[in-house]
Amino acid sequence: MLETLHNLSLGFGVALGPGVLLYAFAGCVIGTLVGELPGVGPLAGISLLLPATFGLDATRAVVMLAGIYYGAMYGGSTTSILMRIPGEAASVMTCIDGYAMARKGRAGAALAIAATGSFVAGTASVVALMLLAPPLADFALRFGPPEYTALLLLGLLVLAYMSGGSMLKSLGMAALGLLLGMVGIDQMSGYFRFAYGVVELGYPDAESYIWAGLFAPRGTPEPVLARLRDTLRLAVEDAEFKQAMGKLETPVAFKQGEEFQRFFDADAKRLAAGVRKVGKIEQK
Amino acid sequence: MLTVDRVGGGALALLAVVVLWESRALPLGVWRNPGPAAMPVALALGALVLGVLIALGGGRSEPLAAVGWGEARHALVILGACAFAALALERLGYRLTMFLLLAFLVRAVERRSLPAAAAFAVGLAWGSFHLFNTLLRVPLPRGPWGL
Repeated sequence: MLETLHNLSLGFGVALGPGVLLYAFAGCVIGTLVGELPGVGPLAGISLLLPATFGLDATRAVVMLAGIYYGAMYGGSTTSILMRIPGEAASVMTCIDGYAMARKGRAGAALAIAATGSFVAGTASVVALMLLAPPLADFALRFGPPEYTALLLLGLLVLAYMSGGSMLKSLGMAALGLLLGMVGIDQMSGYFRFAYGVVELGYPDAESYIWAGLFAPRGTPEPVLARLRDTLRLAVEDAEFKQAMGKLETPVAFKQGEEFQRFFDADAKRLAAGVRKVGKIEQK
Repeated sequence: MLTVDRVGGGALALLAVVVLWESRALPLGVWRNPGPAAMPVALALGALVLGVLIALGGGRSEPLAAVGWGEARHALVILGACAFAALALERLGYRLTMFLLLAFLVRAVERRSLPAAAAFAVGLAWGSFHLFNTLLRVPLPRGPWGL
């Protein structure tokens, strides 16, 4: 608890530094604009605006991205209330009450309620995350596919129970939503499901795998590099870590130097060939 | 008699059958290592059972003819507009797509005057392009006409 409070004070110390709040404000304004665009949610907004933070130092960039995220989460409610068009998925339900209030001439009140609700819920969830993240992170490492499946089923059952009315219909709609989510790339195998050649759903030859690497700037002293390599190798070869990743069916391998270069070149070549193929399909 | 639940349940079951049919092309995998077809098949089987149960128990629900379709046009228009935006963004470019989308939504859905709709659409499409593409250096699609 004391460590959490210490980290919190450290975080406030950084976030309240000179000029940082200005980036938070700019992020919120831009995020709100992004959130108002139908179909562009917080994650898409952050992905789109990532290049905008390239010129900033890490602190300002992260603060601005956080502002964009929260701005986009709130911005979606504006079009929900005024036009009955949800700006992003989370504000679909705002269309029901918010638009009804706007029709009665209380659009301002609806927007104020949405802003207050967004602030209160955002703050409460951050506090909860701050307190629960460390124990949850330890606990999550023990989770494997059976636990995740059980959690998914629990979520669906709670949803069906909470939604009231017929549980059969609620579960049916949940199944329909999950079926719609099956369209596109399968994250476990990389297969494309039900894409039918639609470019927006992706192409099998241009699929990308996720791998993580640690890079050091050119000119980093050799002793520092050696220490980084040793620490990373120890972490990767840790039995508990390997077991946890094995449960997720994620292979763990440590590559460096020429071995990594060969792996990187092969992956880049494969991806480039796929992208060229997509380009040829696009030009037809 | 056609009721809301019978039609809804039947549609869900039909969709489940289509998903099962289309999943034939994907590897099912094995129990310990499920393939890409495993989840769609499992969900489709669940949806099929639920759809049949909803349809069977739907005799006493509201008749289909009594349903007011007042929201249908609005929902279809938004779905159509979203589909257009998704398909046109790369092909027509950001500005042209956003202009057409916003002009349509403001003019046809919100029933504003043509000059107001056009001014709003032009302002937001070109303004947001300038903000994101020029000022924030986010590469946005330009389409064949550079728009």
